[in-house]
Amino acid sequence: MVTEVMQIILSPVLALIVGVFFLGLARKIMARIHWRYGPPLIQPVIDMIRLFYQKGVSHGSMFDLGLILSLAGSIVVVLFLPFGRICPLSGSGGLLVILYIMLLAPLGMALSGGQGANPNISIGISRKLILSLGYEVPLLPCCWR
Amino acid sequence: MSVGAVQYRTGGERDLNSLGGLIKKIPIAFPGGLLGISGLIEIPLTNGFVSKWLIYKTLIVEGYPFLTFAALIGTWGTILSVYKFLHNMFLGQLPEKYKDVEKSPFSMQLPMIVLSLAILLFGILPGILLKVINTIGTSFGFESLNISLWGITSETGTLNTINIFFAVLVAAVLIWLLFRLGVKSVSVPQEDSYAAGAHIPKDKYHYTAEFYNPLYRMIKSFLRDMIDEFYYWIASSVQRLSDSVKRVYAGDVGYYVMYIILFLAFLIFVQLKWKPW
Repeated sequence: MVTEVMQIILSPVLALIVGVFFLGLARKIMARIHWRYGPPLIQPVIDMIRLFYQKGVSHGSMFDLGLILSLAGSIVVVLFLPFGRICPLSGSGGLLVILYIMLLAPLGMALSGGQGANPNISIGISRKLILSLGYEVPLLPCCWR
Repeated sequence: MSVGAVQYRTGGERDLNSLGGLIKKIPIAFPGGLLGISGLIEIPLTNGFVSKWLIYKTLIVEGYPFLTFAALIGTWGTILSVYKFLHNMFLGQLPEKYKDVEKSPFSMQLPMIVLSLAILLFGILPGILLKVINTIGTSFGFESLNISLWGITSETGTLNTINIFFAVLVAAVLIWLLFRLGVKSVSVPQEDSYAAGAHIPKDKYHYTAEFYNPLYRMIKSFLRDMIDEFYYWIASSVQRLSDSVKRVYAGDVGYYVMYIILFLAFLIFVQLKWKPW
């Protein structure tokens, strides 16, 4: 029981650390391809800490709720993913649930962005939804053993 | 119903591209529409997901890869189309002429609230409906499924919606608390935003028409309608054939006499050559 709770708490934290450093690594590699030096590896962490203490703006309730929904969807996807032999919520559904919970992240972001009046937001939403179509279709063949 | 509420308050406006930004003006219609489309596009925790899960499981276990692929493509077509519909009505820039739209009357709000709650209830506790469906299935002689109030257990996979629900709920509450710890954000009006360094002009931009143009550009070459082309080819060739057949009826007696004489000559020729009669 205790180990299960620990797994549920630790796997999103682990995923956050890995994800943040992968983002830094991706930016570094992209910079090297562009023949630049690139930001340091911990740049996403610096950004996160800075944005946490920065005064932000909000266009309304959906603007905030969409972001929360998006991040919550990502964290729940992590709970369904296996880390080696650790897979906290494997008994509640399989790859099909992952396939559909992955939808929450782009959908939340789209809903949140939609509250602004900027025309670039609509372009971003349509791109994001089409991109997530591109992520999900190749995942489907994994359902076959 | 939310479309009805919007149409009722905007004076029967049916053009989606001229609407927008009505989320704060017609408040209940937006969550109602959002939950409605979530049920349609089978987001987990809404009623559509359980049926979709059963369909996918059946297709995978029975081994129909192309049908599964078709189901996924169909789902994505639904997602893209209904999201555009929701975005065009409730999100985006609010046009000047709808600044003073009133909210919908209570008699329109109540059915939306009830049906939204039903979508969530049957999504989180699908066993209520699945039990009824299971008794119908067993009465037709199918095998009984192992159904609990919050999911399905079978040898090919289990689904437990209440765990998913609590996972999403706890994650959302934790993130909300984390956001509360940060510096509080300032609420600004929707137009307080910049594009390429310039202020957004009011009522100038409402980029909702041709929402999925990049996708259309990508798949346009695959969308050549071969079946339609085949039908058009059949239609035009039948028409050409009938036109040539129509020339037989010339409307002149001389031609008909000629046809009769030619036919008799043909019969005489056949009789002389092969002697069948």
